[in-house]
Amino acid sequence: MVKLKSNDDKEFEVEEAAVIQSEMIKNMIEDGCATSVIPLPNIDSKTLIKVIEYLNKHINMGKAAETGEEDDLKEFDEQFVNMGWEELFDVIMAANYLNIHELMELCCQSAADRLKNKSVRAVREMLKITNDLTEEEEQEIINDAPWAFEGPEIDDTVN
Amino acid sequence: MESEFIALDKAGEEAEWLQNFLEDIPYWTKPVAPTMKRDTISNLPCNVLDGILGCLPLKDAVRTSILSKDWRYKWVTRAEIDFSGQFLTSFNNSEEAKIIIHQDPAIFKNLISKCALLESLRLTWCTDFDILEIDAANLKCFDFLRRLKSISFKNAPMLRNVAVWLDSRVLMDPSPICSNLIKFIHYMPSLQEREIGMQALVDPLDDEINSPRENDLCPSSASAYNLTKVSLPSDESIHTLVDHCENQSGPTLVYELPTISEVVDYDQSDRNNLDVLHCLGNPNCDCLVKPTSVVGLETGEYMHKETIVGVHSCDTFLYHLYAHDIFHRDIKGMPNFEDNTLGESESG
Repeated sequence: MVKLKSNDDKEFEVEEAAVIQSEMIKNMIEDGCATSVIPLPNIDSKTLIKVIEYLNKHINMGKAAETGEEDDLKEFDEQFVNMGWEELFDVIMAANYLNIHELMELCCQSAADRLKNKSVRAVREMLKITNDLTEEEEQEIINDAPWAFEGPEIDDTVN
Repeated sequence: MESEFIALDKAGEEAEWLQNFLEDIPYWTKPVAPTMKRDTISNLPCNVLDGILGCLPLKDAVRTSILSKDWRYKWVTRAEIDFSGQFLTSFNNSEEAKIIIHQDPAIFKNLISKCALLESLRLTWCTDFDILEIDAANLKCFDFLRRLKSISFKNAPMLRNVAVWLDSRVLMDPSPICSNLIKFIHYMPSLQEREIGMQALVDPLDDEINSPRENDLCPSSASAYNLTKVSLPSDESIHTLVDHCENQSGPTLVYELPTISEVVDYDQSDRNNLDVLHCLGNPNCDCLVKPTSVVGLETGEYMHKETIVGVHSCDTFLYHLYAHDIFHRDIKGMPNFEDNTLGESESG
């Protein structure tokens, strides 16, 4: 078992088989630096719980393929990324820090899926980006690649 | 002594002032905090943002340039430009997509010039080009499917995978520009995989826009020589397949002549660094295999010198993918490559 400590001083025990999906911790274990508690100053407990949930579910990915649990895993992934933007970014940051490639991919894909086909206005609203471009600048950007801004299929809803 | 007291006194005043100052701070409005909260995504590390933008379809990624000043050039770190199925499906109206990508080659040039980190370029469902110049220092993978007179890769030292498939109509078109099946002979030391194929392809745009025509234009196994079996459109039943040759030391070319159903193993292990490969699958034609040191292929009698575009020089990182119209003479018939053309002109 490996002990992880979040930045709000909560400790979590995780099986080694699960936690080595994180390249960073795997390297630490290999280097013999993981004998006591591993402090994770960038990750709060709420996010860490999420990440551990993912790691535990994704233990032995190969085995899942053999036993036909792939669909189950897929369903889990779908459920897993069903969270708010802030939370998603927290998990992405944690995955980035811990270097968990698959989790990173999953979350980036989820973020991209949410932004796909959305109107500029909707994206700005979702991501809380303030538009600081003048109208002329906006027009210049549109003229540069008009095809990207055309099409009636763009979705203006925010969800 | 006196001055020290004065100094101490002053220090005391300063300390008090500092204390008051610090006490006041909580009452100030916090200009920083709301900014941070306002826009979490812009504060993500570059690699994370690239990960998200990389998952977005091209059209959506380009559209992020208008979000704000910060976002103007965020998408250009993209490693992949893919004008293929996914691009088309980002338009509901295929007609509209067709107009956009068939009438304006400037789109590609514009995009390519912006994406300095471009590694993969797929122009599989795109417009016809007379000349396409590509300047992408990191480009590793290039796919093309359409009509094309010439491509030149300026500054593509990393390029290692080229797949060029040509529209069958190229063969049929009698106009001088497109009259010939264009063949590409590669002379690029970095190139590890090449694939030249020709099939009786239907124009994907004329079909269902969502047709799942997944092709294997870009196989990823490195250090392999792919030999594409090329068939004439008149022989529609012939499939164009790719064989992967895993033999690392001496590349083996597996070459199947479709109409006579015979597999010829063309072992080139006696040649060093087999690097230029050109193969046409037809009973009448033969393999053309040239070692790396070949500088020009124009010496072959089957070549038409006037169709060779540009010059190359590997020292200056200027590489050209030549377009040759092998089929110039006769559309149905293939040129007979004589055995003595193999391996000749080992200059350089």
